[in-house]
Amino acid sequence: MIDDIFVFDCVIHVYDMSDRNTRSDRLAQIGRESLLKIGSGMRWAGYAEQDLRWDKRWSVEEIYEMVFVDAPTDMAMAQVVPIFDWFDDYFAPVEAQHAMAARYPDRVLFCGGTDPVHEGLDGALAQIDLQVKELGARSMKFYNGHDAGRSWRCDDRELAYPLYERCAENGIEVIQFHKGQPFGLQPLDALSPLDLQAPARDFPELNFVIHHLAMPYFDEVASVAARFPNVYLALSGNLNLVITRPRMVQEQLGRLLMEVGVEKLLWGSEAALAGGPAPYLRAFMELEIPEDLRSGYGYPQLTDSDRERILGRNFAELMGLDLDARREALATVPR
Amino acid sequence: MNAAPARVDRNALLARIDQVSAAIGAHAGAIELLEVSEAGVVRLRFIGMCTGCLFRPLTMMGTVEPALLEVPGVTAVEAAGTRISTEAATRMRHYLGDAGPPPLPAVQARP
Repeated sequence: MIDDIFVFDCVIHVYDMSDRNTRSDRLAQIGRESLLKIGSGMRWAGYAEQDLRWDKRWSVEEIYEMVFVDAPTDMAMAQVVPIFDWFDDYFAPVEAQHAMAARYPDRVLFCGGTDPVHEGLDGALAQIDLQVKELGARSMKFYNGHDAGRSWRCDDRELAYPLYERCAENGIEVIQFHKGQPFGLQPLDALSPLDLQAPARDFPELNFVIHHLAMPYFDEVASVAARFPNVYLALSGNLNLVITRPRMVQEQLGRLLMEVGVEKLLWGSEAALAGGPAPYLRAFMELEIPEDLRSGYGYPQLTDSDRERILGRNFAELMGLDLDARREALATVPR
Repeated sequence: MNAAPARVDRNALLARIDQVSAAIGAHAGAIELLEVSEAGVVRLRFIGMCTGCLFRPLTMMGTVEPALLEVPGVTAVEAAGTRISTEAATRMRHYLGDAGPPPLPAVQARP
C-alpha cells in the first residue's frame, strides 16, 4: 500500500524478448527494438539502467521483486501479450503469466491471451477454453494490430465476435485490448479504439478495457469511454510519463476525470518493460491538476479519493473482488 | 451536530427524474438513476444524445442538480462527465445567476 491506499496493478508482463524467443528476420529485429525503445521511454531515468538487461526472458521471481518488494503493490494481473509477429511464443507468453499467478496466488491474477489469426479461430477458441478452465484465467487480452497484413478488426462479426461469445460462455466478463502505441512497423490505424464501439454495444454483459489511452487516439478513446458504460481505460504506462512529461499527463488525466469519470480509470504499471512501479506510484501520489488547467479547461482537482479508486478500487470492483477483504487477508501475507 | 438527512422518497425522485428527462429530451437526451446513498447522494447516468456531450456540466448545474435537490432528502447529485473544477463551477454560477433557471413544476409522485 502507498499512504494506506491499496495498490492493484491491472497490468504487468512476464515478457520474453530473449534471442531465443525472437525471430532473426529484419521485421522481428525492428519490432524488438521498438518495444525496447518504448519501454525505455516510460522508464524512470536511472532505474538501474546500467545493471539490467531488458531484452531477455524475465523470471517470475525477478518480476515479484520489482513489483511487490521494491514497490508497494498489493495485487497485480499478469497479462499475456499475444504479439506473435516477431516472437515464437508471444511477447509475454501464456506459460510465464500463468506461472506468475500460480507462484503467487494471493497477489497475482492470470489474464490469458490468444490471437485468431495466428492460432486460427478454432485454435483461439480452444485456447480460451483451456486458459480459463485449466489455467484459471480471469480475463482475456487481445492484440489486433499486426504487421505483414495480419491485423484484424475488433468488430469483425466472423472473427472477433466468436471470441467474445466464448469468453462469456466461460464466465469471463473482462475483455482487454492493447490500443494505439504501435510497435515496429505495425499499422497504426488497426490500433484505433473505434472498432470497439460495436462490440461494446453488442455485448453489454461484457466489460472492455482499453490500454495505453490508445495514443495517439486520445480524443477517440475519451469519447468511446465516456459514451459506452462498459468501456474502461487502463492507464498502462501513461502515468509513468508523469516524471518526464508531467504537463501531458495532467492534461490527459484532468480531461478524463471530467469527461469519462474516475470510476473508469485503472492503474497499470507495465512492469517489467517500464521498470519498477515504485517511483511512478510516488509521483502519482504527488500529482495535482494545476490551477491554469482547472481554470482554463474546467478540469477538476485530483483528490485522494480519486487516487484510491485509480490505484486499486476500480479494478477490484471490475474483477469482482472485495477490496477491503483482500486488504485484510494480505495483511498477514509476507512479501 | 447535523441532523441525519431525510430518507429520499424513491417515487418522488423518479418522478422528478422523468420531468428533467422530458426537458432534456428537447436535445434527444435523458438521465437515468443509478443509485441513491444513505446520505442522499444521487448518482445518475446521462443517456441518449447527452452521452459524451461536452455540455453535460452545464446541463447538470443549470437544470439537473437544482431540480433534484428540491426532492426532500437529496443532498448531492453526481454523474460521470459532469465533474468540473471549483474555478469552472464558480464561473458557471456567475453566468447562470443567483436565481438559476426557471423552476420546474413541483414534484409529483408517479401514479
